[in-house]
Amino acid sequence: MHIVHLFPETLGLFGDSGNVLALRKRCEWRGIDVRVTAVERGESIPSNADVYVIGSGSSNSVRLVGENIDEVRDALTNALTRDASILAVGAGLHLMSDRIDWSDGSSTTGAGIVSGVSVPRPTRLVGEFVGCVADLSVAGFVNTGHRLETDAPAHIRNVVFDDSHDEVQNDGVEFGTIIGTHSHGSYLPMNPAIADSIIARTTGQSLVKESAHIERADRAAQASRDAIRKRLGL
Amino acid sequence: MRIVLAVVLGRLVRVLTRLRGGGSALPGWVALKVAPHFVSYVMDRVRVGSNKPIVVVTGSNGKSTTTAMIVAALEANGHTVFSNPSGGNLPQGIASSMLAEVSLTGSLRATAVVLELDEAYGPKLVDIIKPTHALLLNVQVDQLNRFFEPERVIDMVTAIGSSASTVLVNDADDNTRLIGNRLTDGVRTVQGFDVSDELAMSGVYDAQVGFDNAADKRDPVATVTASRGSTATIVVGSETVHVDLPSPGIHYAVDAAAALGMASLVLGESANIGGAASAISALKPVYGRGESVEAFGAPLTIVMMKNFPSMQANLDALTEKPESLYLAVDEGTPDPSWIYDIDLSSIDHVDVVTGTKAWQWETRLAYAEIPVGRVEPDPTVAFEAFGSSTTPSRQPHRTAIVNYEQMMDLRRVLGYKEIEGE
Repeated sequence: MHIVHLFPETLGLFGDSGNVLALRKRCEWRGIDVRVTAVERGESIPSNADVYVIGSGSSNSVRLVGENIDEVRDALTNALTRDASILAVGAGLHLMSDRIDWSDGSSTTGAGIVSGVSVPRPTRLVGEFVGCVADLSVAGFVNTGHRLETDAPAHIRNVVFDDSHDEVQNDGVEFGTIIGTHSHGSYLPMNPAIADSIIARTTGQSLVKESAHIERADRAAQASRDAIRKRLGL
Repeated sequence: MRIVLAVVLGRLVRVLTRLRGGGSALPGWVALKVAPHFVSYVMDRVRVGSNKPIVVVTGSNGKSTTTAMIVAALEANGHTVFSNPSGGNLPQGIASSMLAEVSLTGSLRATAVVLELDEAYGPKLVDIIKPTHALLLNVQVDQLNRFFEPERVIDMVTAIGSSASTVLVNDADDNTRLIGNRLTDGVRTVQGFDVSDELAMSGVYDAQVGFDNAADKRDPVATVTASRGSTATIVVGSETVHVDLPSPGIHYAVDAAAALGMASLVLGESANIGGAASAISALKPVYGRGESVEAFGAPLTIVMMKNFPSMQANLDALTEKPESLYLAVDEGTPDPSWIYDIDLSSIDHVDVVTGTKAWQWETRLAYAEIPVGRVEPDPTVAFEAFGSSTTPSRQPHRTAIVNYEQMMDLRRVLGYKEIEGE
């Protein structure tokens, strides 16, 4: 399995390396051959990888990546025709959209891989949440000033933040081999079933070989999610 | 009259808080409730009829340590300094510090003022503090749940810098270097301090916000030329001084260079830099930042992990892997996602992980394949377990890596009653 981590320096504000780490270690622990290529801005993006991870960043980082969005679009569109997977988190998700609008009236062109427009939120969304992906319970932390206006199906449903964010019910997008979410940093470590679904789809294997490492990581992730659920009073 | 009442009531609360142990903000909060203009009144009286230096210190990391170092450097040069030691960098914290030193009528005896300022409150506070000098230490990834993104912090730090006529910026940090260039105009003097290139590679963690226009550096007023463990060599003008740092790590060497640089700007030609360096060398660690306390009959070194850069710098400074290690993080760190960016190669196990975010750390450590003895979210139970399950032998001390809130709790549990900011 070949993972491309897009722009880890520019888009790595919220521990996005954790998502790549979870994918890599969960492959290694199962004896699946895995390699990671970090691609910084200005470097060419391989279009023959299996999984592309693009992470979170500040407004300026989004504008910077937006300067060369054509290359990102070409590489990822090409990769998608080969059924490659994309995990886009936070700013990375917004960069996958058609356009990012800013509160000063300017806008940044996105890769157009997810149909929709990223618009400033009236108030910033910050905090822990729980939700569901199909019948899986997931949890995480969101810190975003934008939301994605899209008709694409949501990745996470039945989202619950604390009382101040009752208006948010869904998060992110999921269609084909694309997953996008605002749950940043430790999303895959905290929700290893999502990591495993990406690995299983990519390798075409059912992931049977468990290990003490996986058991430990999954137990800790479960307890982390339970702790968030408890903090939210659920 | 309100000022007198504010001082009396604030002091009364201060006595009560000291008896209980704990935070320093309450007395100042009471004083500001009674006299909302308390801080500006005291500062106005400081300024009357004199050119006293008023220094503000801000940035993501190193504020408390650097402030203490500037105070030591100025005192060694004959100044009587008013300051807000360690952590009291919000309006109520500054008011609390003032309560300890003002007369009933709100006068300070100080010949110089050195205040550390919170990045977010700083831009408003400088309107009443009216600093003569500003020291901008760094803009690193810190408290994003509060600040949202580093660009906002850059704007805040710029606003704080713009309030002073003399500004000293960290030229080893891309962000403060950029701020220095933004602030350079005909009105203001902007100076820089720096870290020699070979050292900067291994210890400067500025926030990556992608500002590509790497701004020019200034001729440094102070430069860290060597840093090893708890010692540093710093060049200030034509002088080279050696400094014993309060704790190991290049980040403390950077703080010392910042402090000596600021002292040389404040004192001018008459500065006794050697004396200032000696005074800095005599400083103990600032409250909870690398300090050693007594626990379970042995020394316990408290290492604070405020955010990614501070934790990484503290881990970088470890000379050997901790033998007995306690790790505690709670709701004071709402989003610890940055733990995935930490290079954990300087630890090989953790004895006890605790706090409400304990399981998130255990997840991180599981992916690093670092063994953990016990995960116990309740810090009281966990700390007892840490004491009974570890026996310092190879190292004479135990080590606790904790966030700010857990540091405060730990000190209280261990009977260290003095309030931060005293």
